[in-house]
Amino acid sequence: MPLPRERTYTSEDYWNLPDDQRAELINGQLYDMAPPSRIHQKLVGELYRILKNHIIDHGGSCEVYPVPFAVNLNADDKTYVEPDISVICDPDKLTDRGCEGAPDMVIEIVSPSSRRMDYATKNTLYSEAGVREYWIVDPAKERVTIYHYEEDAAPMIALFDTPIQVGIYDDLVITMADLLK
Amino acid sequence: MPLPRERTYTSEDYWNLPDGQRAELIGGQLYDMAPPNRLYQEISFALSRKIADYIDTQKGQCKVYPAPFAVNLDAGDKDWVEPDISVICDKDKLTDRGCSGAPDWIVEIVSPSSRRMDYNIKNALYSQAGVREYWIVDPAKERVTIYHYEEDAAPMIALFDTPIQVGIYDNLVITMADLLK
Repeated sequence: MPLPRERTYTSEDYWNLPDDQRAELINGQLYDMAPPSRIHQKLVGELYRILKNHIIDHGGSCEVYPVPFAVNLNADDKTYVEPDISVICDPDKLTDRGCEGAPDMVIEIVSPSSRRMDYATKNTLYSEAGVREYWIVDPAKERVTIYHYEEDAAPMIALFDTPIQVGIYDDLVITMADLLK
Repeated sequence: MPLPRERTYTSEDYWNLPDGQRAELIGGQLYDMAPPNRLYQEISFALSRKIADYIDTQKGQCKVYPAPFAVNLDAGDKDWVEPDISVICDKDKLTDRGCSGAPDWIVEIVSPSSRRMDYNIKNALYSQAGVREYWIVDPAKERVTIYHYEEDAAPMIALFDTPIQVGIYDNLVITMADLLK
């Protein structure tokens, strides 16, 4: 939900938020981020671990970052998002602050206050920015909505107990239910 | 895809398009609409008829309009879209030009050139405008992606041979495959 004050915010506002406030900057509006729940953090941690292990085992140029991690989505200082998980395979996009440009893969864990943001707003943002793969992990519905934007704009849906083939890696399969054991 | 010229378009541009050209105005950009193919028209006609028959039988208040039909989504002359099917239940929204405000139910039939528009951009647009139900009918994948925005931001997916319960009506069930027989 946008903050109530009516004005256009800039990256300067975003970077000067009080220490205890987290928000995302999208088209000149700041969107507050609610503190995460336990299950949210568990899933972020487990997904980070499985992706990091895969990268360590297989080498390659990709890096994975968990939230909080600032992504200047279009590298134009206008939209800063903080995806729950970002996988970035182009080292030139990594800066001291975070990521300049679109990550290759983004995962958002849906919380009650972020449903429209994750399913609607960020679907458009990520698809237009050139993100290759976008997962929306929904603990309340126990399902994952998956976009492989390079192939198609249409979503796929997988239940938590179904193995999901990661699009950007040929040999990585993730079953959400296994991560919650 | 946006037209190549770089400028901000207004509703005046939209209403003064040449006769042979159809486009939609979203966020100050004009998006060209490709001419529909045969299957697309068949689905549009059959689905409109099914909905209109239902409304007649129930003596309902809602009206159904197939494209071309101009919808001023924000009722503030900013965004003008032409949904393939619009169901509008508030007579006050109906004007000489089309619909002023969000329809209750929108159906888009996906064509090869409209995939990102229908699945990504319009999902965010319709969800924010207050559309209650949004169907994305995909002839290439033979499935329908369904949003009931009043209940949740997450999509549901139904295959063409599965009966789909319409959200805004308690007793209307549509099976896409039956419409195409």
